[in-house]
Amino acid sequence: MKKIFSIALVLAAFASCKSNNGGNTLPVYGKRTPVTKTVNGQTATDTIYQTIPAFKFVNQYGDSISEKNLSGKIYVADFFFTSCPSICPVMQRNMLNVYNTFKADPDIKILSFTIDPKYDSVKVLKKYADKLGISGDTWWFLQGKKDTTYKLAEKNYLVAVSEDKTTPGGYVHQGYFVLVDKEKRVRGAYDGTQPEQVNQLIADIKTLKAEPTPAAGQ
Amino acid sequence: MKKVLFTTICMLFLCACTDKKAQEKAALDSVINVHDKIMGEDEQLMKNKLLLDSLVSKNTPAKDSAVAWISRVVLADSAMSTWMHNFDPDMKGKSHDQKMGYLGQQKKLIKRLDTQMNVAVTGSRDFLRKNHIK
Repeated sequence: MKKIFSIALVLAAFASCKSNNGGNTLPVYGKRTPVTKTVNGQTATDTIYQTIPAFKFVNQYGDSISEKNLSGKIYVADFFFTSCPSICPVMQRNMLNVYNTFKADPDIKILSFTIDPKYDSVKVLKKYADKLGISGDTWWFLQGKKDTTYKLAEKNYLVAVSEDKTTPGGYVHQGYFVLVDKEKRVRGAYDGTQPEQVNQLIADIKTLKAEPTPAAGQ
Repeated sequence: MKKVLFTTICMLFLCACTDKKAQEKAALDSVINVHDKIMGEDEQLMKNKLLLDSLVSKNTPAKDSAVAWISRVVLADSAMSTWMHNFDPDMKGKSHDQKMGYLGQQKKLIKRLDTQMNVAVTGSRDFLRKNHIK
């Protein structure tokens, strides 16, 4: 019950952020650093937003995937493991909707990071992707060191969730889908077990696609 | 009269069947609930591991103890990973009694893992606090 209440609060916070931004712009999450510059004698303060740092994982085809493969792409990230008996099957069913909506769009990617790399080998991930009917390079299932994955999740991808102090800990296995923009900034987090939240994610991806880049001075 | 008897028997079979399904679901849910609880603890375990790794890299006097805690943390994490890999939530081809027996056995196993995880999380946390690592 507490979890549901917390998720509702997070979603309400997202909704209020969106309306604060005029309804068509998604909020930017994470740390922000003001930078003051002097150009032609004029002092101006700019904001630098937290971005997803460099990483290197291996996908279901055995290819090395880094942040460079995502340059200029909008993507959705989630955390799962193939033998997960609880929320992951529901999450991946919902993620299939995102995949089916954008699989023909080369600018959209999905990254599913396994949190059980001991057993989720490249071979296991490929079999899992095949079972879901995934082909091509829209949806990558990624394997890397477990502590690296957790660090990336907690310190970067899930900042929108951890910013909400009412959300209980243990975010990585709570089924969030995280939306990242072309400039590697987190723009939303959605409960991947809830179809209506996933529909919102699909709508927000379309909003991001329509956003002019770069969103300077935000 | 025959019709009433037939309907009653059918209803009894249906009730028994529904009851069995409900029992199986409740037993499965109770295993999954412990699993989900451990997954939250595992996240804390990974945070502690990263801090322990940093302590080891600093080459402090606490290095050897940190290495020992890393072993315990990795062991707990690995035990959970092995359980997840072996657990069969579908239990295809098993009878009701076999399913209930299997789930009862798995509940015992995962409760033991929960204890192991708790010891690793709280022990490594206390060790890190003692060494002023947050």
